[in-house]
Amino acid sequence: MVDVRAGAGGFHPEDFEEEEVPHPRSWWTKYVFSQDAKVVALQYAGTAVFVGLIALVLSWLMRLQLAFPGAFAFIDADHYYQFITMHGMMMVVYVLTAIFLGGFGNYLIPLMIGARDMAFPFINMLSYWTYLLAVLVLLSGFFLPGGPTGAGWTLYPPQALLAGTPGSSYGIVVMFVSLVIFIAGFTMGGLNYVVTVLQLRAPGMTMMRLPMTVWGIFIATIMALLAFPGLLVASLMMLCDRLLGASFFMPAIVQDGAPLANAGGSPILYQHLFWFFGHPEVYIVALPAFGIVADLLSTHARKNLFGYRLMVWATIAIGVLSFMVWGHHMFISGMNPIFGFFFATSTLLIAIPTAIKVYNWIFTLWRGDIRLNPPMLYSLGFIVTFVVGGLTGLFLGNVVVDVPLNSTLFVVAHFHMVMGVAPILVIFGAISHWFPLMSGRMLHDGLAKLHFWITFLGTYFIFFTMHYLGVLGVPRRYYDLGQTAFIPPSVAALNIAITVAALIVGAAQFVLIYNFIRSWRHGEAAKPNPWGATTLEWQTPEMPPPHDNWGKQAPTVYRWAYDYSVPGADRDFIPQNQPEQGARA
Amino acid sequence: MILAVAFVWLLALGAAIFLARQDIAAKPWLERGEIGGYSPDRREPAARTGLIFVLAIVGVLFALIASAFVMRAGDADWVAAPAPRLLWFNTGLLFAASFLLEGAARASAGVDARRADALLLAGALASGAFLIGQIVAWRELAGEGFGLGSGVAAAFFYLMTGLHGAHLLGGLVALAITFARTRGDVVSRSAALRFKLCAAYWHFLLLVWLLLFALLQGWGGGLVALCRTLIRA
Repeated sequence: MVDVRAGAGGFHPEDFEEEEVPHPRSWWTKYVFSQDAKVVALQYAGTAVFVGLIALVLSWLMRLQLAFPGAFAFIDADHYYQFITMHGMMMVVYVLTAIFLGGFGNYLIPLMIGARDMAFPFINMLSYWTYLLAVLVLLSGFFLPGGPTGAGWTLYPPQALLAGTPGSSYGIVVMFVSLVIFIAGFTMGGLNYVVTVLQLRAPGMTMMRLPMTVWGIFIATIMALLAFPGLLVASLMMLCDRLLGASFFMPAIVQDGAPLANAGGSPILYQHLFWFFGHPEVYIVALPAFGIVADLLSTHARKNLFGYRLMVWATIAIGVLSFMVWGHHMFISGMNPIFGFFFATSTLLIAIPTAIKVYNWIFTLWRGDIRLNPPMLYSLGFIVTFVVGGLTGLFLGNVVVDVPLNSTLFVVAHFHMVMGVAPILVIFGAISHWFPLMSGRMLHDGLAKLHFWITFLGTYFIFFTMHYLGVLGVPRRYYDLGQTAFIPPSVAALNIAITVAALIVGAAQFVLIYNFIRSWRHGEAAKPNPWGATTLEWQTPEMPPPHDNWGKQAPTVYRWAYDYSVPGADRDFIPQNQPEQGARA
Repeated sequence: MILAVAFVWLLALGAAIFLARQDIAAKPWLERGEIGGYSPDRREPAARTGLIFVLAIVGVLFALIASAFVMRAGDADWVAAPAPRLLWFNTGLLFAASFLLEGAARASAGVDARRADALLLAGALASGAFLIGQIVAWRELAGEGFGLGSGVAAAFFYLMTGLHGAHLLGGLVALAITFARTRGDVVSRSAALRFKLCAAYWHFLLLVWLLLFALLQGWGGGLVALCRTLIRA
């Protein structure tokens, strides 16, 4: 019997659709081992914030050493390098990747596309618990003999494996094991996000009707799925070198007069594999931020997003191009100058789709009804910060300018602006925007604004100054500048000023945490759809949404995500699930 | 890294074809109402989409390893490790496994439950034999003095075969789950899909193995030379 409606391969898609959402039966399955993407999202985000706070404290300790060298006995050189390494790896992988994709991805994808849950809820839950295991393995490094690895967050061989590098006995092993576990966990989650976007969109929700948030998370997830194998291969090969006596990366080395057992490895090979992952990682963090900020600007300026199509195309273009630029992290590794030229060109090419995005954000604001509430403030802060960070990227993308600036604080300032402060401002903006949806209450406005201004001005004080130090030639990674002839004494004063600012900005984060906890319990109750947003997540029957998101009737989509201030409409927004009839007065 | 980049471009091409069919030149701000004839029953099963992405990820993984191999194999100090002759036999076993699973998938789609079950088991056994054969090949190589620490070429041999074997082992777990879930129900549509996806995964791993096998046999010399010329050009 042949069914004419059957698709390729003779299957009824309906056999696989509309599976009942597994309703939790106990407290454990509701709040702990939950398969609800929203609970998984909060677990991911909560864990990531916890790791972020540890990374914040580590950055304080580093700054204290730089401002007052030798004043704190417990920060010796080994500890300093361990703090650097753990701060970097935690922030890039375990905080930013996890919070954007695991946190916002899980919370927003099903709601924004009108699905009831992820495509594979069980695997989704498993993804979080694997991530948690990776975090625990990572943190275990602090308690092992020798402490965590101090090889720098890039973990370059041969130095990472040599005795003398802090944590070279156990720390480096748990670091790579943790990364392997993280990648396994992320792959489970990532498959879910991608398949959910492709398969579970509500009727009428075409790809070109997706909000930019979903596009950003979608493309970033695909990139992460394809980029993380680079880190996985590098990690496995390093573990082989460290534990099994192989020599993928370890060349013949004479240490303390005796040759080591390894011979014939290529350290440069590691750099290629690492940066095949490492550069896309920048955009894995940036693209969700780009998407979220587009939605926040449009909603809080009451205007449709300018150039939606171009925004989508630019997102895709950035995704593809970012796999062609890894070599710009290796300009001084002795690579063929022709390669340097190639990578410099491809790097500068990325500026084009990125600039398109920046212009479109600004045009979205142009003549909008801008409301300077916390989500808008954070978004504006993001645009400015991202432009500054992006412009300094143009300096570093050029081989001839990069060579003198390489390994100075200029590089540190650049990447903290562009992939530290900028995405984190978006995270704050997103939290203040979606807090009513998650909790049913409003975040305290005054405290949020206080937090914004301290964070925004404070980070500028820190990183603007740091650019200047970099141009002076102050090297990064140094535990103590000591008697370095070309560094003027004023650098020491500036370092103290930066440290004071860093302490203040770090402390200001507790204002946000206090605000979050206070408002979750005692905040003003939020009206349904408090911002007047068009996207589906605000059209749920309850706030916060129930486990199956939509109650009895899942939504049907009739329009794109940005119908704000439509002439003739009776309100200044028309939700995506509102049919044409009834939209007008 | 040329191989890895080429593979990513291949994926980008596939994505471009997909996106072109998604009407990404549409002007969504002009289109209101339920457009595009988009309704849930036109969709492919989620598991199939998931598998396509799994294959892409596994593909990148092996493309990167092959890239690393080709990069290193071109260096002057490269000493090739001998490929055990047993690999030929193992390759035959993997071919057999792939054929048997394809047969199982067709039998399942063709409503022949007993045949589907039997072929699935036979495919699993052939795969298990392949894995054992690979371990024997490892021991042979190590016995000849090419242990993991003996040189870069040998280390690559263990890494490539090991990772490939690990993926096949993962496939066997999926096969076991399929077998457990479909017992007594091998011919339903969802079972047929499971069989088909398992077979697709096996074909992919066979393809990956053939490429790794060629590299390990030293047949990649032409490719290495080509990459060298490109770099020196």
